[in-house]
Amino acid sequence: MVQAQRWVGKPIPRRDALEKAIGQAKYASDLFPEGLLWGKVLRSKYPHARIKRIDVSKARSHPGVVAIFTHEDIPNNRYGPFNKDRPVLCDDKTRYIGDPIAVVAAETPEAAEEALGMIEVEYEPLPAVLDPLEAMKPESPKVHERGNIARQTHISFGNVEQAFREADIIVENTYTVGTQIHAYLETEAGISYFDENGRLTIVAGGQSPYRDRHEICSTLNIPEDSVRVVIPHVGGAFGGKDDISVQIHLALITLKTRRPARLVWTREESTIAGTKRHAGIIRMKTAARRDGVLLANKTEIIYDTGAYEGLGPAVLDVAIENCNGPYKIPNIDISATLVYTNNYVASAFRGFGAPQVLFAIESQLDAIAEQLNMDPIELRLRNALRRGDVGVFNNKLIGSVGIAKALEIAANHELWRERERYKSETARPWIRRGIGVASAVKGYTLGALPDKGQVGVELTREGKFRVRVSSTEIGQGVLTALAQVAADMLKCGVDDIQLVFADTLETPDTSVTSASRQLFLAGNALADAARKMLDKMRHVAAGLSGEPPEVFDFLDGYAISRDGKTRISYAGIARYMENNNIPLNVVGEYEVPRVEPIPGTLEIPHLFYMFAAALALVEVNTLTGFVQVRKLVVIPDAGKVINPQTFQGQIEGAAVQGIGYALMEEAKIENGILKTQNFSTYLIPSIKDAPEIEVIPVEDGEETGPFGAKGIGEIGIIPIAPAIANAIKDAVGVRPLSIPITPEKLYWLIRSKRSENGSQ
Amino acid sequence: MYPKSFQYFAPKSVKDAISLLNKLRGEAKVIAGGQSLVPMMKLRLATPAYLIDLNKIKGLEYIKAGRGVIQIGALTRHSTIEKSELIRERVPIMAEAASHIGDPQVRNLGTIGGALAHCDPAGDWGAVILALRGEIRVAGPRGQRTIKADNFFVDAFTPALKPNELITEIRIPTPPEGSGGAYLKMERRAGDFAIAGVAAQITISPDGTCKYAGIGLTALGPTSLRAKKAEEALVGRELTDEVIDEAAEAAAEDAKPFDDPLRGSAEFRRAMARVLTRRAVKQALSRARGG
Ligand SMILES: Cc1cc2nc3c(=O)[nH]c(=O)nc-3n(C[C@H](O)[C@H](O)[C@H](O)COP(=O)(O)OP(=O)(O)OC[C@H]3O[C@@H](n4cnc5c(N)ncnc54)[C@H](O)[C@@H]3O)c2cc1C
Repeated sequence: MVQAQRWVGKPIPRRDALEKAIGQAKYASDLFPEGLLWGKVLRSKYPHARIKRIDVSKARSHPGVVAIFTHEDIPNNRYGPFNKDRPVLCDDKTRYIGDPIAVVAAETPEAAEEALGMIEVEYEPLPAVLDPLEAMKPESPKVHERGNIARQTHISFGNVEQAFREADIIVENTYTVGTQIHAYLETEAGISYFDENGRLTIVAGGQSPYRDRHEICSTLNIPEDSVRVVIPHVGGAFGGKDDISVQIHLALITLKTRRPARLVWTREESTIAGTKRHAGIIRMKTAARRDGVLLANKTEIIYDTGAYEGLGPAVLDVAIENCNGPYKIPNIDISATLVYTNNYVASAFRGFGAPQVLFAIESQLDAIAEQLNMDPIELRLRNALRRGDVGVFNNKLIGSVGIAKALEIAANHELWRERERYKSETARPWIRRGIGVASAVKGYTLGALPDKGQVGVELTREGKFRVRVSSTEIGQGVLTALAQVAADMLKCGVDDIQLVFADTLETPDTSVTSASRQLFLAGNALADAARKMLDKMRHVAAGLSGEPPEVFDFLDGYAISRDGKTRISYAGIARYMENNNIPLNVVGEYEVPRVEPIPGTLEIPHLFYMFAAALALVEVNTLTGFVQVRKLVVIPDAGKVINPQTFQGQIEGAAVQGIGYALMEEAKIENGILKTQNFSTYLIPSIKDAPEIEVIPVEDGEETGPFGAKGIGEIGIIPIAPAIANAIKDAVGVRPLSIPITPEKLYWLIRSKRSENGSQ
Repeated sequence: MYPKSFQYFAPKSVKDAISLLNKLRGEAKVIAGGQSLVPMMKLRLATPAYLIDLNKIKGLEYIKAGRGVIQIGALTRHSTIEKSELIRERVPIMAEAASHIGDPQVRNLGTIGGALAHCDPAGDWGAVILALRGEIRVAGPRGQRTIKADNFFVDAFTPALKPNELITEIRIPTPPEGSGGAYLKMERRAGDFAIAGVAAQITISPDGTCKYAGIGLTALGPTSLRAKKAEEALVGRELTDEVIDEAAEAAAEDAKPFDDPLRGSAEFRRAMARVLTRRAVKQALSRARGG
């Protein structure tokens, strides 16, 4: 089917833009069901403690308190996507400050808050495990019975040791990366009630209504068809709402009290009890030949998953998969460990384990280029993967591979070609400018894990379409993009597409909105549904006109015969179908192609990868260590841009989040206590920190994607930190090995180099 | 978190406010812009049983030129000072400092009196008022008194105020001809409290030597500090690069910074005192010379 594109590729405004701008869009935190109870969660005061006794009697008799729940109220008190290691409410122990111990339901928020202070918990504090390296030692106190090594694996292809012996140069460094907090505008929030059919309904921010429903039902031991989960507009997620937050607690309150409830985390609760990006230590030893060909890379990855695994095992896989960058390297060796500590909980965060290791490998590449006196883009191009190549895991790259093209665009960009001129344009002698480059790679789709999604399409009697997806609108604009895709597939106006989203009662399971692949997955399932729907409509048109079905084509809401003489409106077709009891709806399905996982991994390799290159221009104040990013050029391999406006927004947003990751964002955890609990202490970039950002897509098309599109949600953040770090090296001659690169860290780095050089 | 519940009063005069304060001694807090007090109440670091709102009192929000002094009412908002023509003309360092406080919302509500009473070592006003040798007018049950800036900042979050006293006015001696000032603030990000800040105010004699120098330090000690040794290094001398370096070195010695997990180690901040003082004095000098 030749697909004319009338809507795909157009910068049409987001359908939710106006209602969000004027405050009409309803987020979960905007909902106040009548007669609601206010939920509040009592959280652990200790990073690691045995719970000896919980006494709620005083709190329960406090005026306004309706109910208090503890672990005794949870039939199956463990959940988790991979390993069920997380309690709904702590029973034996608490494993981080903020671990939930009890849920209060009260008539007023004040009563709920006061009741928290009246619950008596007798703790026996245990030694806290706070350093992942310490945690790995066998004699270290155990966070979980099974020990502190949540997951450990070793993967080797070729022979790195031999390659090291034969190499011309070897670069070896240890990198450390800090903990990043999602810091969405809307904290974790939801409401719950019984609907008119007696169905327990949870309306809460999330990324997967079906998975949330599964976790609710499996822990509370209730049948899945008795529960409905709805995910309205979500005020930001970035992976942070991929795990359970308020959902089970809400379900519990309403199930037991038979009353509606509302539970909205405060900002402090969100930073404490929300998940985070894994802090980590990455040791890397990389070998190259004099001509720049990479020979070997040996990597040791240690990620701190905190008190519970969450999606940590998969995050570790993504780190393993991408730690060699988008390069051909014949000999690789990876040891990877996921460690339990009492440092909060790490799980999914935009990039999902890749930003950390790409910071390492892209710094390594830069160091190699420097030693070889070679242009850093030239070095990258010499080793870049191309379509059809065999990757480091002996995996054939069948999808589109746009990294070489992205790097070529970077090499020809004015900022790179004229970098000496840019660098010379500094206002003051102590301000130095530098320009850095970095590549990025990450798989989209769930890789070797089964990954399947469904989309429903229904023809309405007005001749419009209702598209049903369980995709969640987390601010990324997926609904608008899907409407554009649907309009082009169903040959109608984009306004004729109505989207029903993220509701286990109303929409089929389109799987979780994550891994940069919701458009890819839903778009492909939609293509299947559209094919089925148009086929049906073609037969109806034939029946109505007496002409054979194959003469009909579709355009702008009409079935039109080849000779143009017969035109039947979609509304006419719909009326006919309705009158003749022909079902007006179809369901399309798409299963993502995958390969067997390589031994020692869960979900890698992927068949489909996203790529990007980035350039950064920075100014470093050599007297204070302050870094200002002046310009970013981000070149993502997009396959095909469905909506240039949302595309630009995604890439710019990711870039700014990347600046935060590189320079300022760090959850400070001291003795298990989070010191950065709100936005006055945990800093995210403001508009004043956002430089000029130029976004240049590579659009080579990915045949398996809808209209050639690939995923773009995560890739934008990945090259930013290494590009900035490399630019800093270029500016002041010192290589930052630890992010965030705070002024103080850089100040001492610059000083230590000066004293090495004997000056000052 | 929610603040603990409290009883609210909105007196119409300074006198009424003081008698309320006097009566409810110890359990009451006055609220001006609320930009420090409300966050403290939400964190339950402050749990006053009574709040006395100053915002209904007329005549506490003004900026005027008196004889040899600029008078600023305690309830004057940061943003009013930032935009005031009089301030920009006579004491531009104050407009510059105001522009660095928090964000526009904070500046629109926060007051200079509230900021000084809060006595946060990382607050920006303290260093500026010290550098300008300002005075703080205070009203209590027994009338008014004046506290010199030098004697006002007792300790972190501890001003030289009695619980039943109110700040009513800030007085700044009008800098003479040949003066210039600069407030430099190093922040992790626009809108954050200072890692370190330096206020420098100088006056140059017709003979080219430095007649007056005021150096105030922000976030470099338990309170806002006056860098006296740095001032001494400047006064009476011609401000060459060497002399300014000497003063910068002295300011680093005057500083009493401490380690802060968020905003940097003591050592780093001491180094920043040096860098910022050097630059602030140079800027003040060039402004004093009409640059
Ligand atoms: C997000 C944010 C960022 C900020 N950033 C900065 C910054 O960068 N630099 C900076 O300097 N400040 C900053 N602040 C603090 C701000 O300047 C406050 O406005 C100021 O510290 C307090 O002034 P206020 O009028 O709001 O006082 P309030 O909060 O109302 O009161 C503060 C204290 O002073 C007392 N008080 C108030 N008025 C009087 C009076 N007339 N007499 C006696 N006691 C009084 C109150 O009882 C209370 O103890 C920030 C605040 C916020 C919320």
